[in-house]
Amino acid sequence: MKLTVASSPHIRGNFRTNRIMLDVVLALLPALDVGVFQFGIRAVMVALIGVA
Amino acid sequence: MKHLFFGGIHPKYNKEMSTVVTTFHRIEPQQVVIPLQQHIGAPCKSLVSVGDRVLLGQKIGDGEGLCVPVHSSVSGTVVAIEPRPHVSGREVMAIVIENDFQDEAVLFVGNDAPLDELEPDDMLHAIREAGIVGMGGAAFPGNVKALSAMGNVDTLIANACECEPYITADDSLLRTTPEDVLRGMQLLGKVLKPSRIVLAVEDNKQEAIQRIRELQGKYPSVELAVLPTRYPQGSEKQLIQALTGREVPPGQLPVSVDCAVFNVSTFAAIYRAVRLGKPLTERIVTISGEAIAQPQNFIVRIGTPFHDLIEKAGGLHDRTERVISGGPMMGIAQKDLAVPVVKATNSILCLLKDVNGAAENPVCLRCGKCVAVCPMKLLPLYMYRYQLAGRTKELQRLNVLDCIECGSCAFTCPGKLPLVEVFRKGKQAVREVNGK
Repeated sequence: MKLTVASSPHIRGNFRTNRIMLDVVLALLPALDVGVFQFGIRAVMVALIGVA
Repeated sequence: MKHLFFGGIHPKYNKEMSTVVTTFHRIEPQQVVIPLQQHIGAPCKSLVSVGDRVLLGQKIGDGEGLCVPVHSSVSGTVVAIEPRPHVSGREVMAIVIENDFQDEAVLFVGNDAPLDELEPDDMLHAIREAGIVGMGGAAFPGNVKALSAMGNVDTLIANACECEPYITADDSLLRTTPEDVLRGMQLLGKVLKPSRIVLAVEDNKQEAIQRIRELQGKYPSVELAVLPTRYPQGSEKQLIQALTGREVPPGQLPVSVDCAVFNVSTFAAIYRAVRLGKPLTERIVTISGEAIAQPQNFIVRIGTPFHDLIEKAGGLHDRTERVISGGPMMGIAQKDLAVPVVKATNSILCLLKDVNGAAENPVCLRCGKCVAVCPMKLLPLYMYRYQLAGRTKELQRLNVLDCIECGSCAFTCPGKLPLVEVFRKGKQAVREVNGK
């Protein structure tokens, strides 16, 4: 049997970068809503170009 | 008033795994390997030679200075004195003894004088001669720590927090022989003369708490403190903060805030040393983890190789990835299962492959979660950057030397950075620069 020798800690929590970034996207949605309310559908276009 | 320590985490504790089995088997090893260094300080010199017959409890190694003796944990014949693998990862001189299963012991002479007539010096001498070290993991010689705290502390703390996941060795001790611990606390209380003697337990050990409460009438001087469970509460500095609200200044010892902390196993060993005259030759060890067939606690002779315990616990799973001496947060991964249990070994942990997914390309997104959990109030994310950039001066300014390597930051990090590993290198770099 091959045993791995690595530095502690040997366990980790299940926080993921992906999850944090998903939270960021969710938090930005209300702002996008207000953008659409103010400037119409073209605000979505701008946002899409912004993330592309 | 209730104090709390800063930061900390709530890992999955998994303590119930090893408490299912409530009887403690003893392990009778064919051979014991007793390292001549099981404490912080100078190594012992061997007092025996190959071919000698030794008895259970016989002193087989001793030395000068910051050093406590080691004793044989079996009766039998010395078959080798040579460097052997040690849990620290290095090779350390060790005395190998072939067990003759006779358990012929030296005569243990305890001191049964009434509590008020015991001399502190005699007790300290008994503690040293019994080879007692801090059994929570640090392995600092017990008599030296007690001597430095003598008359200088107002609070004596018995640490039964056992905040590391999986481990239930101290818990088992409190469930089976709580009285030894309380008697040990009384004895050490006589030496250190504190105004407050506290036994600190986390609230996930209800059965142990129950046992202590039942006995409290007999030991009125001992106060029981039940703390909300959080890692790393069992760390000396965090425990002091949680109990007294005092903060140990950077680079200083608990004595600087008038506290002394010892592990509960150490107290039990002190009682056995002073009252029964018995040296430290056995201890309770937890064997647990997803990769072992029957997790449980054993009473183990010091020097028993890890593989004997693993075999007795039903063997390892095929997909075992790590065998760790100590807990999952701060333990040391082992490569050789012939390493022996030493005085400070509280647990052998066997983990499967999928528990720890380290990142291949770790990226810090500066979320700051590590800052929120660091119990020493350090800034792990900046320390990480400085160490990778080789900027030792800045690293020192961020007090990297105060890092207790508890692993809370690395546990929490969403980017899975190898934080503790990097800080260990950083601390070494800072020490090298300071040493010049």
